[in-house]
Amino acid sequence: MAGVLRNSVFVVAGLLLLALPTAGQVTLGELSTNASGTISAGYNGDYGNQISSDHSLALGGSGTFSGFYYNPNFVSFTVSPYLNQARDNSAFQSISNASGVSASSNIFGGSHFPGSINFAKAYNSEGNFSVPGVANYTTHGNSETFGINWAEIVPGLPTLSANFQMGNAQYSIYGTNDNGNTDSHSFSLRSGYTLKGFNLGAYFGDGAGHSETPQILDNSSEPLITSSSSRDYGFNVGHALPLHGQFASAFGSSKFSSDYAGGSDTGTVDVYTASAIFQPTQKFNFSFSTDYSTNLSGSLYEAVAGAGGITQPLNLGQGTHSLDLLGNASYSVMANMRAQAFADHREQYYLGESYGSSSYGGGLTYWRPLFGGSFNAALTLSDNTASTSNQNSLGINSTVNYNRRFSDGWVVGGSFGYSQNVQTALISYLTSAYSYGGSVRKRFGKFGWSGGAGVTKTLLTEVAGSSNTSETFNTSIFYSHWLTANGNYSKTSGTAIQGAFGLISNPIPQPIVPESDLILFGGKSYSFGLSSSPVRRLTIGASYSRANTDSTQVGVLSNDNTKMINAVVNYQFRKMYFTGGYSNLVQGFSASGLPAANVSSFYLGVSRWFNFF
Amino acid sequence: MRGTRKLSSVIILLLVLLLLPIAAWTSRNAKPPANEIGPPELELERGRKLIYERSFSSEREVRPNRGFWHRLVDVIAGEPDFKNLVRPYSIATDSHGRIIVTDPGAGGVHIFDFAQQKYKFIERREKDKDAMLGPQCVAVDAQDNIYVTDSETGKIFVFNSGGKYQRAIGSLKGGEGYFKRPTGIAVDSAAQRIYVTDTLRDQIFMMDMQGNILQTIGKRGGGDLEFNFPTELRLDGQTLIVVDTMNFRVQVLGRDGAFRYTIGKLGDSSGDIFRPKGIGVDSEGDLYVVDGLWGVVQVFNRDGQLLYYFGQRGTGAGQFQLPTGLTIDHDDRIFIVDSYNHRIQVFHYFGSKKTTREGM
Repeated sequence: MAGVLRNSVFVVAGLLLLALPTAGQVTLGELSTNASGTISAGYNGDYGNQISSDHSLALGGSGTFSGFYYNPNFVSFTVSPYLNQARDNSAFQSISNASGVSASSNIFGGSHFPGSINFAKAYNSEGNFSVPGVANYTTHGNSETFGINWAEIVPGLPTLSANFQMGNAQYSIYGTNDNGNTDSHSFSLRSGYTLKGFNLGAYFGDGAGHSETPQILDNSSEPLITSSSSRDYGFNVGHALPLHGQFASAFGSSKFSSDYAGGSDTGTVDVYTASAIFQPTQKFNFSFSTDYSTNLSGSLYEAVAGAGGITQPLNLGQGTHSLDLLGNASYSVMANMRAQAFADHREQYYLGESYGSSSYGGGLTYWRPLFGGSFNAALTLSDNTASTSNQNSLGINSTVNYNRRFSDGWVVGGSFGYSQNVQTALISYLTSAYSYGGSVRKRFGKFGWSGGAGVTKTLLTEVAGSSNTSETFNTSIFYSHWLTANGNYSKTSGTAIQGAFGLISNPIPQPIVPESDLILFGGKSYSFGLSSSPVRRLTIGASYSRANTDSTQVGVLSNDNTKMINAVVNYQFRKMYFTGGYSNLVQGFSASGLPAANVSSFYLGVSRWFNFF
Repeated sequence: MRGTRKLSSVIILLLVLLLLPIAAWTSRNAKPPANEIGPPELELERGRKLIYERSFSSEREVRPNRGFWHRLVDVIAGEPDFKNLVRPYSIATDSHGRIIVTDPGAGGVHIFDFAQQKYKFIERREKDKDAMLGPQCVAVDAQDNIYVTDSETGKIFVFNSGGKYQRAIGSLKGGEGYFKRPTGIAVDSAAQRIYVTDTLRDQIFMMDMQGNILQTIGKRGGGDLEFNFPTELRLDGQTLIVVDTMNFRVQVLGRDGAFRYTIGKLGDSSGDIFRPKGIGVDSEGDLYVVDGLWGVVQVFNRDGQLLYYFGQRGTGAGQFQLPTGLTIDHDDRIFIVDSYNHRIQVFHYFGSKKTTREGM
């Protein structure tokens, strides 16, 4: 029955496509349209240890139908459907045969009332379950997004823009029995107006989200269910000041609520900011700014949620708040040197205690041509004093970059950075970091080579086990159109928190996040790719990637690995493409208790591009 | 059940893959041929006349009637990717009536051979040594070798009549080009001389066929034998005609570089020159000057008097948008590069008498 239904769909689709060339010749009043696309047919097979084997003739394709009514600025639209697209039969990067459609429309473009609508729906498409610093793990599922934007821009009247977005996604992770889903919507209004030299603005936003995240790393059969919502509004005002200055002030209020694994939390964050900047001469400018938050705990939670992280409510105690006062001055000492000085004072109350700190410092930024290349460096030193503990520390922030192109074709570049005792969102935590890297490339006639490496390490000063490190190395060579080869290697370790689509780097000082939400991870990944075009219109490509990570969450150790092999051969004859491809994915998570998933697919077929009208 | 499903899949597949291109083909062929309505015939004094003939813009038009098997393959696999004019600039014809067009937008040179129904596209963008990046102006010698100036690399590229690369003139060690911005070019096969304008140097170089510089002509200025961004060149009889762009005139020199006279002055009236581009000389010795901004071709006699003009700005037949190059063949067919309309327009001049021109 399903086969008959599928064939009926193909017949209808085929007849519709047959009708398109005729329809394109018909002038429908002021409507102007274009349509083009690719239709493919081939023999496709899928097999593996967690899917049922299948092989059959398969139809697929992709297309674009676009047009406008009266004028492209009046109403224009684009619709792009695709059917059964995968990395073994097209340039579509999905291991499974994905289908879907994306559509967008613009109305009244260039007028005082422009708007746009967009929509996208995808079935069986590939997604990522990420681990910072190494290759992503593979998911597959469905997703849908819809959005509307509209604005009113009438001279002399307040401007108004409105935006609505909604979306949902369902996915499963190869190598587990776990499924995840997300659902969200948001609405925002913004307005601006200039009255007697004052730039006025206001905004309102309302949004909510729900997610069920698979707990594949801690061997839990139950997904982590979270919901959150927020309602924001705010105002801002700005005005020109003497000495080429500008003044700005804003108030923002955000009310949020979250449900996390049965528990709930609500809060309101009010933030007041003010700043003034002056530039009395071309060489000299100075500024002052201040901001005050009535809820420091809520601000940190919103920073985590804004980065896509999922965590329990952050418990920093009752009545948390923060105040920051900052003064800055900058002066161009020479054409290629600039000096800066600053003074910063912060007051924070959290975990039942008041904290205060003062920082004073200055620095230089210098750039110049050097030995035929370009050199730039910056150094900032600061004296940090924590008033509560009376502790004093020296803060350093430095970067050095050098790039040079040699006359014999070598191009080299290098960078180095070091920072020590840099202030974070919370006064009592400072971070230190270093990074260095380099790149080189050279072309010898038809042969070319490039390579690069980078190392970074960050940690919270005096907090053991808080470091995050990453190392990356890459190289590629090519010989004319005959061969291109590339390889990458990454190694990473650190602490992360759960996100809706994988792990994310923790955006706030680590000790603030509940320990049960922290995930220790370490891993490495490498990949190789080869491609060749030995004759015109013939391309051959193959790639191999592998990642292996260990993670620990609430004492559960999981060893996770993913391996992907992909090979494609494509030959073009005029508008026809003869394609053969093979994909294989092996992916497993030891905490899931299941054997690694092993999924393979192959394709052999032909496709034809049409410009229907 | 499985066999029936496979059979129906095969039938559907064949239906879609075969009927779709046929439907597309029939619908395309059902289009009525576009009737190109040109400007009315221009009747001139003494029974002379100028008529609009046609335009062309693509390789497709070289062989308009394809045979049955070609059309069958076209239906199944689609038509070949015909080369189109993208941003054509300069034009020349050779002894076989082939039309050679430089196209900086496409990065190469088109050769249209309507008589033999052949087409060739010359390009050297991907070459590691002496790549041709900005083909600007073109000339042919008596053996139909093709000379192309490259304003981007500062070189002159020479191809044989079949389009095969022969050599680069002005290629220095390290890959640099000798010329700052070579544009106009003319070849005197009898005297074995190549003339090239270097627009940024405000000079004309006279070279032998190996590229050795024999003489430099002119310097920056507004007087006789002085140039302000010279561009196109044309040899006619014993004269060398130079478009002196920012002096808004055409200077006529002897082949030895001696000054003879000028035609044109700055203005926005008929007979004035505002943005001179391509030039050509017909069988009666009258000079055709393309004005790129006004979209017209003005025809002067050797006394500098305006005889008539044709064309206007627009996209229709006989209208131009940023016209550039011009050449006139031995049958007085006038080929004009209509650059922004991505086409070549062809006019035919019928003179009142046959005249014999010197040289060439």
